[in-house]
Amino acid sequence: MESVSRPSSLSARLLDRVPVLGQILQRPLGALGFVIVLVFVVVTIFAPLIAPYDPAKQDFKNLLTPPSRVHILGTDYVGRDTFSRIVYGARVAVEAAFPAVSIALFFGLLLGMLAGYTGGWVDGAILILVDSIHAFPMMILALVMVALLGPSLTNVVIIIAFAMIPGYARVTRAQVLSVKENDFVEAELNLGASTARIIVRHVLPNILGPLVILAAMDLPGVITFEAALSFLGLGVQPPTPSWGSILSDGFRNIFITPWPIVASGLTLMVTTLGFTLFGETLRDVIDPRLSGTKGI
Amino acid sequence: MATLFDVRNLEVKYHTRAGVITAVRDISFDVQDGEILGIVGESGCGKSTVASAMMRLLPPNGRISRGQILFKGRDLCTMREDELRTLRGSEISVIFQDPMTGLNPVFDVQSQMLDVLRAHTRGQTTPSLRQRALQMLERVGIPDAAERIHYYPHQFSGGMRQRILIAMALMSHPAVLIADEPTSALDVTLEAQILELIRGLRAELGTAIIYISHDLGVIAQLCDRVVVMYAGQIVEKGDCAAIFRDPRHPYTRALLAAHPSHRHNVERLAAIPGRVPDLTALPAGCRFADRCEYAEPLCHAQEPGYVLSDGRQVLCHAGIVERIAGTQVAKAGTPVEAGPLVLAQPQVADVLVATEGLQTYFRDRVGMIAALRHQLPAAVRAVDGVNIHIHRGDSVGLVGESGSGKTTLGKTILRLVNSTNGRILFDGQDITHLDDGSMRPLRSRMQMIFQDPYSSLSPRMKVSSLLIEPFQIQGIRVDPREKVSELLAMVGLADEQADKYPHELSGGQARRVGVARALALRPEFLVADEPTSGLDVSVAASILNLLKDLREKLGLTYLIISHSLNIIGFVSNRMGVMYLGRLVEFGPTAEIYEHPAHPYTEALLAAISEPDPQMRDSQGRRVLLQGEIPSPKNPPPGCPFHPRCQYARPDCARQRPELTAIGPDHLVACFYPLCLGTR
Amino acid sequence: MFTYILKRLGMTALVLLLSMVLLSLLVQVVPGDAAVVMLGNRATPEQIQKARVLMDLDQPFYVQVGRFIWRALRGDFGNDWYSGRPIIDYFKDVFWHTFVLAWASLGLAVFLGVPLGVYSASHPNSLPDRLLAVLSISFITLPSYVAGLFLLLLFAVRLKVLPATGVGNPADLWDYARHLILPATAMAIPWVGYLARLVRSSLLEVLNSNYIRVARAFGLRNRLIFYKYALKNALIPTVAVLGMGIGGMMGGAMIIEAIFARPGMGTVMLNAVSARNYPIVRAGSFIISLLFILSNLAADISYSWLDPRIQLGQGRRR
Repeated sequence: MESVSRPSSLSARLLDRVPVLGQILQRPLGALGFVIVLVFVVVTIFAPLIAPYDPAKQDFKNLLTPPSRVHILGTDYVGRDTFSRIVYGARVAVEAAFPAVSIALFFGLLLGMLAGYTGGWVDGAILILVDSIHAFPMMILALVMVALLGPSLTNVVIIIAFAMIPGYARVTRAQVLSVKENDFVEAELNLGASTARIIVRHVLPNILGPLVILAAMDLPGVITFEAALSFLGLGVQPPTPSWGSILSDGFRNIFITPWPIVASGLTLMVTTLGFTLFGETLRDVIDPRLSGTKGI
Repeated sequence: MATLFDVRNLEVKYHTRAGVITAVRDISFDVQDGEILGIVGESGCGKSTVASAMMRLLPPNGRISRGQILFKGRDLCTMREDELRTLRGSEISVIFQDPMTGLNPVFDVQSQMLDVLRAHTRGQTTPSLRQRALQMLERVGIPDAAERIHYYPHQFSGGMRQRILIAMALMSHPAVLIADEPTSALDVTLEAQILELIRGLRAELGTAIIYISHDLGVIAQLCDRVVVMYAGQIVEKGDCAAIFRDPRHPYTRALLAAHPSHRHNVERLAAIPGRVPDLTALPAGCRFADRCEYAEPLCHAQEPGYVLSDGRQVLCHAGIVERIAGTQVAKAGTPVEAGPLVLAQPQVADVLVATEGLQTYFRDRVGMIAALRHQLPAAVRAVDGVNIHIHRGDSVGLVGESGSGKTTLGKTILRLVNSTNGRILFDGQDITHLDDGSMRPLRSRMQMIFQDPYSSLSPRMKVSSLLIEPFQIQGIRVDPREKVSELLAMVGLADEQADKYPHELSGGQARRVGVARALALRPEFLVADEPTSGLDVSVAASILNLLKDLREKLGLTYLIISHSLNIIGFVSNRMGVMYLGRLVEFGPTAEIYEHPAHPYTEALLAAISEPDPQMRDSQGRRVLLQGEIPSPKNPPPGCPFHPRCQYARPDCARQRPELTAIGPDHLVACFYPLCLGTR
Repeated sequence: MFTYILKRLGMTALVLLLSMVLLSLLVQVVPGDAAVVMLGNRATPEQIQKARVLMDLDQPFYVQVGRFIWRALRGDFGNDWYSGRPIIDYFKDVFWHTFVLAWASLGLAVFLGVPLGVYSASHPNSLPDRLLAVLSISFITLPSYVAGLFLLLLFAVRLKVLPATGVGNPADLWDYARHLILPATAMAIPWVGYLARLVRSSLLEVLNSNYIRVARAFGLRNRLIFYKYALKNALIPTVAVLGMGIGGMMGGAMIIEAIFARPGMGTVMLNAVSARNYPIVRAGSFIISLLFILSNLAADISYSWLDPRIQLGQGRRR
């Protein structure tokens, strides 16, 4: 149809280059999400420049102080600056979430494609395997792993990755099955294409899109889960600041000062909100058909 | 006769993201008590919009912007919603196109029927309402109605569900029934049954019917008066027989000329050039002028008004109508005498493709436990023992309804689907069990054109990449740009289509790309699966012409799969009829059409609706098939057709008839074939 | 129907078996001597040996798994290393509290979320609908433990209207309920948002379907169409989701129990983990996973009971 005449300015040209981004920004909730994500990214990258104090620096003269001009968000039970800890906590969140999701995505993709394309007993076996991992609530898995291996960031990543593989495997499998239904796979076979060619050039490009979007939408949940583990003491250990550990420190002193809880709680909320809004708008823009229940 | 509906200057607009679209404009017609009015047009002409508007059931973004819809004198456009609701289902009823999704899946049939009855009657007890519902179900031909009324929709086949919906629509004896493409989704023999049902109910209940369809044949057979629509306007309106015999609007003429019919054997179909105009970018003047063979400069400048011509209303300039009046509907090209398409006589030594006892069974995934106990679920016998011979240079048509296995046969021959038993021979070589590596060189010689053009083209590849890919797979070096140009030209597409993605192409264009890709490697043998499905008559005609031309130019051998006998009649010189996975008749097309030997073939031919109202009464020889196609998982014993065959005898149930010759080139699988006079 | 249940039970058993195998595999994967890892560096050689015997670590793999499952199914998880109590007792004491918490949360979520979703769908794109959409997303992105902490802060610490810890006196229903309010609300909040959105989109999708259009064409009243024809179809997937949710709640209950110092399965597990008491952790995993799988099974069965298409098999004709 007729294209809307756009002003020819730098921002407009930028939007032209990344049409998807432009569409996201046109929706108010999407724009909000984008801004939040942007802030998050900036904070993560420039943490040393933004945080006024060393997050591990203790100061026994200023224990559990409320927000002041010296400490924007107050201090915790050993005098560490809450604001700095939150800033660095963003890094921890990234260090946990991104590797975990990437690993899960990789293996889930592999398993799902194997199951979907090969079919037969391979499919059945993978399904059962995946279902049995799925049978554990993530938290249980985490508890078991920590009971065996002890708490650490690496273990958190492993736990999360392991727990998320079944989800991606199932979605991949469903996608592969639905793509296989399409005639163009048959058409390729008709031309004599080999299985490898079909998978790489035809199946993969068509399933990657929904999967990546799904992964993007899982990020907030992963960040939340990492924080939950840290809250319980099962994740990163002090003095590394995780939003979850800030929460738990604050929880222990909840009757004295609410500020650590408020600060880190709000940060968690806003961050997950931002990622969720951004992810959902991204999905709506790219492929509205995906807004249904997760693939079975 | 009283006037039931009087539609005056109706205009409907839709508010879409692209702006406001005027879907239909200046629509005026009337419906008399007890008559059948047809509304015919191709996709996008607005006929469904008119139907929805008449029920005041437009989607939320649609609005009636102008006009009146008078029902028994009262204007529906100004009525309140609750008044309209009392009319819907009791005075004005509707049946829609897709019966599979028309019933609520989580409630049984009885509760749905009772809900409708209760909405329109008061003070009636449930048992008496149930009685009414039962009676209606029996009337529409649901067997064991008393038991089946408690079934859920998914337990009925598509044909049954449509009958149930018809029953629900007519339960309250409405004055008028609006039927919006009710049989388009059904097999042809089933369609014949439903049409017969509708006719019967009309005769019994005196209901007026507004029948909406794109199928000229059905309209011609059914309707008293007809309204022809194009691009949101009525272009011709009047008595049905008169319009079909002597259409006065250029579009109606073109439409009839583009309709393939096995009765008039022609060289080429008269396709309509160009495309239906985009409703957001309408040309000045007459909307059909760009494609009209009678167009004059006036047509591009000024919009025509309605002209009265021998009892018809025609939307055209008076001068042109006068020119048209009286001339016969000319079919392009010279009619060929009824006879087989002139081709080299088939020689025995020249068989290109053959199958022997070919079987393709599909089995659902077998659970581990069932497998251990050897309890295999029933297999779908898609192809159940087929012997077919296709000579070099032949164009063989394969016709059958759903479940006949025709598509599976095509795919099995091309080794896209693995056969379960039997042999496939290509150019004398047994290819049944060749592995992928050995098949690859052969694949360049046998190709397929798929039924759904969009789903057979990889959605993330541009047309140019799609056309080059066959060469990449086969390891042949070509100059991409040159090759793509060449292939596009071969199928009549411009170079600029090369950079488009499949979803950016129109239906006809996508199909041509599919043809181009199939031809890329210069195959000898081509299987075309429903080459015109989903296409409008005008576009379908050009595709069929293209297939014909390519065959002559490139010396191809065809296997054309279709459910439409008209298409097969136009484009193939020999044909086979399939039923439940078996080939029941095979021979020259013309011969089979004149003298069908198998009772099923006879029924299929009788079910064709010709766009010729005069044929309506020659249905004396109409063979109406009862019942429905059995499940391919459980075919009847003996001859698969015997339960529905009106000529069946006891031994038909005991033994399976094999294909035997009853003429020099005519094979039939029947113990009592028709033309041997052994009825 | 019966065979369907039987098949599903079979699958469930298989999955559970495999889960336990996986669990046991994890023990093998641990570097070094598993018993040493679990007991820590300060364990004496006798303790280590005792642990090895208790956990069958010297036996072949399949014996380990087999014995564990065989005993587990009879409720025998052995005795605790330190106290000597049967492990099952630890869970028996507290199971009820977790159970009530999970169901209370679910009940609350359904009670609030479903009507909100229905209301949104009946007035699509209106102002209340848009507000509810924003609210729903906010709820979904609010993790239950953060909600719990905030609620605790507000109502228990600042306003002091509700108790902060414990379950109260189980004999006193009102007291018990008071102690349930904050934790159940915290767990319910994300679900309210999720359900509201799910019900809304299911309903809107159903309202667009052909059979609803047909029902309108037959003159059925709007109320009938919305609340009978559409709702039943839309709720079916919702029920399925809920069934799976109940199991998930068992996991989420852990943190909430920690925050509100409620005795429950979660607290038992957490304490066991900090004490590196692996047998208790393993027992708890088994029980909770079993409950999770069973609740999925129940969801499946209820789904097939509600949807006649599944209940009666593949249907008759094509």
